[in-house]
Amino acid sequence: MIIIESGIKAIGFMKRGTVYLLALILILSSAYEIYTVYMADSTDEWGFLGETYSAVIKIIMAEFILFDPKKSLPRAVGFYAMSIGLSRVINAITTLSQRSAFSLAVGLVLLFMGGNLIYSSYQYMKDTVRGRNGMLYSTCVLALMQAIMLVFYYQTYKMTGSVEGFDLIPSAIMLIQYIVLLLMLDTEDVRYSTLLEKTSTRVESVTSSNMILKGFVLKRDDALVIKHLFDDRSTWQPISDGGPVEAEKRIRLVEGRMQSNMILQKWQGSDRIYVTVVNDDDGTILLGNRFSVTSVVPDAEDDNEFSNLRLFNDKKMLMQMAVEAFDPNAPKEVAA
Amino acid sequence: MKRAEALTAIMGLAIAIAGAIFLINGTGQGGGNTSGDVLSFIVMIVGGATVVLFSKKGIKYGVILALMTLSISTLISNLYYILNVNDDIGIIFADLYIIISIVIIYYALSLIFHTTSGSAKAIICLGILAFTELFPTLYKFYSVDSFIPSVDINIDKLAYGIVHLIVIVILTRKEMLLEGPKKRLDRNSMALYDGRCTSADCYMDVNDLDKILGESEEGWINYSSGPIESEKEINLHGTNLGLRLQKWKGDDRRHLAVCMYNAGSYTVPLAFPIESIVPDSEDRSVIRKIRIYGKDGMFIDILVKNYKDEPKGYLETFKMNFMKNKD
Repeated sequence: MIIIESGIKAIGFMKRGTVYLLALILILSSAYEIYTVYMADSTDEWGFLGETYSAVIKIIMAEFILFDPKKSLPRAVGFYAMSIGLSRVINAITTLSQRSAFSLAVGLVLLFMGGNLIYSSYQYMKDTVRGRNGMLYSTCVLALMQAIMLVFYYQTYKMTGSVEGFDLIPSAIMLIQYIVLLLMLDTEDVRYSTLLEKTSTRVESVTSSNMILKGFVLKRDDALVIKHLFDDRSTWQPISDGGPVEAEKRIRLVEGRMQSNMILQKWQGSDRIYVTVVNDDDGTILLGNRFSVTSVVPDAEDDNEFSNLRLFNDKKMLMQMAVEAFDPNAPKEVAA
Repeated sequence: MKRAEALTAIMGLAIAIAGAIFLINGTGQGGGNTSGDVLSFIVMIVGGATVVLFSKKGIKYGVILALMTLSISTLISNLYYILNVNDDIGIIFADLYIIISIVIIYYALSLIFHTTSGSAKAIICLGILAFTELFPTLYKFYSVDSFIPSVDINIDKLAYGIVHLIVIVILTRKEMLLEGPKKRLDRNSMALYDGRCTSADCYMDVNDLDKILGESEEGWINYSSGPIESEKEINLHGTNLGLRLQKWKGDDRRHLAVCMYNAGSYTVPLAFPIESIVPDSEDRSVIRKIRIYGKDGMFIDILVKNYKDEPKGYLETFKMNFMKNKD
């Protein structure tokens, strides 16, 4: 349990660290762009404007990431992708200003892909259907183009010397930024916010709170609580809020990735046990599966031998739950 | 004139004008129009005029007519070209244009018979047609220093490209968007979830506590007919659900209805008469959760938070501040 909790804390720490890393990459690359503006040829007006605006946009986006009140990895990735898209569009304009067939072709691709990256990152942050895939395709194309340009510059540097080693650095920095974005788009948090994953989560929530699936197995300790619903409530929590509930017990039902929470309540003046099954009980509880239980029938009376439980109300059978096999070495739950 | 009608009329007008430009530019001495071209331009003029005349029938009707007009005119001129001209490279392009036109006709037919699930293929085909005409023209503008004479020489290519771009823009309009399987999945799974489950993070604003604890008599809406005497709405943040506190005629108890959405059409997945309300603290300033009991096992828990203190995105904060300044 301690190992799992530490692991969860470590993952949370890494996610926060990754958010700051994205902001740091933007700040460092904008610092380099400002440096190249300082050192560059002052006659290249378009280049000067392009680098300056690109640096300003990256610094602004880095601030959005750092000071975001709803800071999270998916949002940081959205801001990061948007900053790259904007800087690509600016770069496209400066490329197009060079007026040649080559610069037209490259500039149009940069313009289109950069624009698509801006649109996709905006849609992604708006949490709509489109988003991650659009960012992925645009970034792949831009990264491929950048890799080709870098190889081309490197070959020219090695063979003719007309390009200096120093000139390779901007392309390399840009390629690193694309690679970081591609890696971020493949993280669990970003992948899990895709439509398919959201839909699966919603459907799983409905399934887990309204039915039990064939492969579900109740833990032995929880099964004992349910088996003794009417004769032993020593592990239940007494409720003294002035309301009608005498005691309450919460059980977590887990089947693989699906999880639901069963809230058992003993009300004053009633023999039955009221059950509310919800997808998450840590906060607001509104909609869920509600029913009352009047009897519980195990397939064997012995606490170590029963393998399933049937729940009934006074009109019908409600459900049967399979129970995990008895483990003589398992620690026993202590009464509250 | 409504927006959709205006867009349709503009589209039809653009097609008709483009057809007229092609016809005028290409006829006469040295014009270069073949009989196939003339026929295709007449189709464009007639088709465009028909779109304008029937613009009140709806944007979808206009789009079908526009697509059929453009694709049939392209088909005619390129078929004539293949059958009458001996040019290997030209024939390759003509074949491509014919295939694209057939795809656009297929899409237009699928719109008529409601069998299509998206306009991607039409947008791609129209985009290719626009690109093949516009790109060489744009490149010429890009390379020369004087812009206006180039426009004059390339007006028909520009018109052709612009007409196709107009149709593409209209295909992306909200009125033309067809729900694909992903959107349907998103919408239906959300509806299923909203009707059966609740996010544990949703909450009521602390300023609405008075409404639910019954200490405020403001905000009740009275009804003259039906079993409900009066009703008041309580918003929930972080969910599509909303609460309605109701007074029923002949019943001293207040009723609570949990509604999917708070306006328009909605279902009520949960409703019960309130027997008691128990906050988690007697000190109003530190209430974090309230429990509302009904009878026979019915209960709900609602988190209570201050909406202003909750973390928001930049746009949400801007909207909140904008609305605050407006008030």
